[in-house]
Amino acid sequence: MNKKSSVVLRWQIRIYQLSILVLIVSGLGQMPLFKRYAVSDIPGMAWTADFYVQHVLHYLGASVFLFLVLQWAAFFPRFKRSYSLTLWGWLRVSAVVLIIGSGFFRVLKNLPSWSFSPEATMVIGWSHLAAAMLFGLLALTAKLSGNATYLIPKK
Amino acid sequence: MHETADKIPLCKGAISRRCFLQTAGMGAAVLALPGASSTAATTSSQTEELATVLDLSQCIGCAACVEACREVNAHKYPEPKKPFPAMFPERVKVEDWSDRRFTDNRLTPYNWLYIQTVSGEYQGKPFELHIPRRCLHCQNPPCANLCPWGSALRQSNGIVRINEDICLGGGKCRDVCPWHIPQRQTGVGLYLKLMPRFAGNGVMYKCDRCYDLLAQGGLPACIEVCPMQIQSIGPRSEMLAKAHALAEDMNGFVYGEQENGGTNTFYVSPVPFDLLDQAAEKGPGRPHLAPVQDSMAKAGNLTWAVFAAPLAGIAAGLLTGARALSREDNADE
Ligand code: SF4
Ligand code: SF4
Ligand code: SF4
Repeated sequence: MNKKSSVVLRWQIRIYQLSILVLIVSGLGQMPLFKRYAVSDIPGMAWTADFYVQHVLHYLGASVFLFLVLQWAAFFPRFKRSYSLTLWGWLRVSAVVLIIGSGFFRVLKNLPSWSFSPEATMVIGWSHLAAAMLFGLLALTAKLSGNATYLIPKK
Repeated sequence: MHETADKIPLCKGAISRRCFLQTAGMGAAVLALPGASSTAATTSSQTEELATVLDLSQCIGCAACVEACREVNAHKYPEPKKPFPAMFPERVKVEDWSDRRFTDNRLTPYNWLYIQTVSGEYQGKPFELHIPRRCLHCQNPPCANLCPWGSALRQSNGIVRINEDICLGGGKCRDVCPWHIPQRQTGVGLYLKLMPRFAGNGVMYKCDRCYDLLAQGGLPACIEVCPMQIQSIGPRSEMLAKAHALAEDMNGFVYGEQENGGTNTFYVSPVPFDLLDQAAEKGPGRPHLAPVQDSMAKAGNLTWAVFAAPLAGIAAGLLTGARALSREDNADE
C-alpha cells in the first residue's frame, strides 16, 4: 500500500510487512531446507527445523495477513472515488488473491474431515507455492523498478 | 501414481468378506464413472474410514504377511539410477536400500511391514508377542498435513499414502510422523528432474494399505494371507467396537485408538503397551509403542483463527469505511 497515502495507517503497514516476513520464513520452513543448509545449526535457530513450530508460525502469520488484507479490501470501495490501484498494484493484489485462494484449500485439506484426490492435493500444494513465488517476484520487481506504490490519488 | 482408491462406500453392520469385496468393488465402479474422481472432496459423513484390528495374542510371527506385502507391492518398489547425483551440501546423506532389498527386520523402502518380536514377563508369567508393524494410518496424519508438496495424502476412506510420482524425498513425513514410519530411497523420483544436487533426495515409501487391491475389490495382502486371521478390516466404528470386545475378552489393552489423536489401526494385546514398548527393540525403522499426543492439536486449534481472521478483517474494514464516510459527511456539512 502507498506509504504516502493516508488511506492505510502506517503501523498497519508495518504489521503487514512483518506478517509477510513471518510467512516467508515459515513458508520456506515448510520445506526441509533449514536443516539441510545448516541454518538450524546456528545457535538459537534450531526452531527453524521444527516443522510443527513453523506450521504454527505460518498459521499465525496468515491470520494477521488475512485480517489486514481483507480489512483493506473491505474499505477500499469507499475510497475508490478518490484513489485508484496502479497496474503493479493490480498485479500484486491478483497474486495475493491466488495465495489466499490456494491457502484456503490448503487449510481445508489439513482438517481431518476433508479429503482430496491425489491430483487435487498436488494442485493445492503446488499452486500455493507458485502463487507465493509469483507474489515475491512481483513485489521485488515493483520495488526495483520504482513501482512499489499500490494506490494513486485520482486527478 | 497408481489408480486412485478414494471414496469407497462401506457395508453397514457386521462385515463379512463378501460384503467387503462387494463394497470395495462398488467403490472401484464409482471411481470409473466420468467425473467421479474430479469431485475432489468428500466428507466423512459420506464414507466411513477403514480401520484394522490386530489381535496380537494370535500372531505366531510366521511373517507370511511380510512376504505377501513384498510380493504384492513389488511393482511399486523403487528402481534407483546409479550413480546417485552428488548432494549439496555434502552432509546430506544418500539412503540406499536397493542392495539390501531383502532386509525384513525393520521398515525400509522395500519392506513396508515387519514383525517386531517382544518378550518379557507380565504378572509373573513370561510372554512373547509378535507385532506386525507398519503405518497406522492416522486420522489426522501429520505426514500428509505437513507435506509441503502435496505428495503425502489422506483419502476419505482413511488410507494415508504417498504419491511416489511427485514425492521429492525430503523426508519431512518421516520427521513429523510420531513413529517415523516412511522410509527413503535415494536416486528415484521427481527430484532427479529438478535440482537433484540442491533439493530433494529420492522418494519416501510406506504401507499404502494396498489401496489398489482394495479398489479392485480385494483385501490388503497381509490380511488375506495371514494363516491365523489375526487382522480384520472394516468401518472404523465397527473395528473399534471389535477391538474393545477383544480387549475385554482377554483382559487386554488397545493401542492406536487415542494415539496421535486417533489412528485407523488398533492393536489388541494381553500385555500392557508400556511394557511392550520398554521391551521392544526400537530405532530407525523400528517404531516404538509409547503413548503419543495429538501432533496436530496446536495447529488444529489455530485453524479457527485462520478462518476467523478474514471475517474479522472485513468487519473492521467496513467499520473503518463507515467511520471515514461519516467523518467526511460531517466535514461537508
Ligand atoms: S501372517 Fe499373521 S500370524 Fe503370521 S506374522 Fe503375519 S500377522 Fe502374524
Ligand atoms: S503413522 Fe506416521 S506415516 Fe502413518 S499416517 Fe500416521 S503420521 Fe503418517
Ligand atoms: S496393507 Fe498392504 S501395503 Fe500395508 S502392510 Fe499390509 S500388505 Fe503391506
